[in-house]
Amino acid sequence: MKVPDTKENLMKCICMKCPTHNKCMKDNMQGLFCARGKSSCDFSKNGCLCGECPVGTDYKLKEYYYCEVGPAK
Amino acid sequence: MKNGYDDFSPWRVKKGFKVEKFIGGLSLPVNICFAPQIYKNDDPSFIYVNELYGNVKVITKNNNIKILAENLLNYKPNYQFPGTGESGLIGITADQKSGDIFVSLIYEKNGMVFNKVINIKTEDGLSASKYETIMDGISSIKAAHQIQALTIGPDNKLYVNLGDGMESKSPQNDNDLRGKVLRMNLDGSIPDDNPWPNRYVYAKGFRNPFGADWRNSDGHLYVSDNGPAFDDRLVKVEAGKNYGWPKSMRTGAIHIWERTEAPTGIAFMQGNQFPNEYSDHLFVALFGKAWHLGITDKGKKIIEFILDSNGKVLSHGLFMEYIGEGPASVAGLAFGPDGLYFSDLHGEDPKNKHAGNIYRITTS
Repeated sequence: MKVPDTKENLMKCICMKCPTHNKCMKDNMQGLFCARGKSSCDFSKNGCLCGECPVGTDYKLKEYYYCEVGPAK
Repeated sequence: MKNGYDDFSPWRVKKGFKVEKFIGGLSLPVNICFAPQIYKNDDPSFIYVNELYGNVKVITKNNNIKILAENLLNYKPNYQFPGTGESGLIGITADQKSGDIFVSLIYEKNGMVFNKVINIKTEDGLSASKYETIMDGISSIKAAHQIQALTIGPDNKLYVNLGDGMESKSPQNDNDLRGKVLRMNLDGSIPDDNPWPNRYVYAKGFRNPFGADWRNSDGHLYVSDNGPAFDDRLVKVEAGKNYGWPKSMRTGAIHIWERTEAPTGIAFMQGNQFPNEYSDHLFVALFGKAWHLGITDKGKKIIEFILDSNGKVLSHGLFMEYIGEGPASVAGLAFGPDGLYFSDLHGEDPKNKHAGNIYRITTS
């Protein structure tokens, strides 16, 4: 299911707490990858919180690492 | 404190039962199993417990802690919860006939991460005498969703819960062992009577199946499987069946937690540890959030299930819950000779890396 890039979803997003969310992503204000698409930063997969995210609950998301795979479809 | 039992407990349990600390001072105790009573020692082994970061410890009959095997991880773990710190040494089971201990863990090779199963042999139940890798080379990840519970079935085969490795295509990929329950002989070879010839796969379509136990009354394996942001489930596993992930976590489920609670260990009451009316009841640990202080809106509980003879859930209710202020939560669950034992991964002190506990629930 597509995730709208809205302020409401951004407020629910927990990307910033994710162990994979790194300094480059923070410096570039990147998050809500399931709506906005993959990250432009280099990163290591240190675990994925997409499965625990309220946005994931609302939109029944099933994938991992939207920061890598791009937006939910 | 008397005989190693601590009267204080940060857990509130159903009326008619009590929770006592059985042993403390453990470092991230994950799963527990009971040692076969086949050794002639003054202070024989009682419980085997695996610590997430690579040790297998023995709790003896006299409540002494000994190291059976140590430093099984070939990398340095980092205590990151949630995240890469959640992975390591997870599954443990003991063959009650031979005394062999089987553990599941991840390892690094050439910068990549893989799953494996080790058979630890012991001559006295207290120390390892030989290590034999019986399965390895399965891709994994340093996070949850790795190789999980191990059980030995009534057919004397080893059953292995394998997480999807955070690759959502793996559970339906027949060339990938991830997202499956595997069945193998105790030496790691493929049995002749597996559902798919010359393959380890017993059932497929799982996501993150942490816990497992066998139900004597129907001869089936039951598994807890963690969903994404919705739909955790309990499953009665049948040979050759597809349990649906990633299309759905509801396929074949006997119970769904639509609001996820992170089910971990599961155990059937199949002895005389609890009163007769609890016979064949299923107890399921709900871990909750990966690291959270105090009472939370998710997990830190044990739920009691009543099933009918076909495995359909007739009712369920709260059996135990956390009332303390620490990061404690329930991971492993197993019935011992005198009660239900559970491991508490983090314990009460968030600054202490050796604050993990094993508790025992008995009738009061």
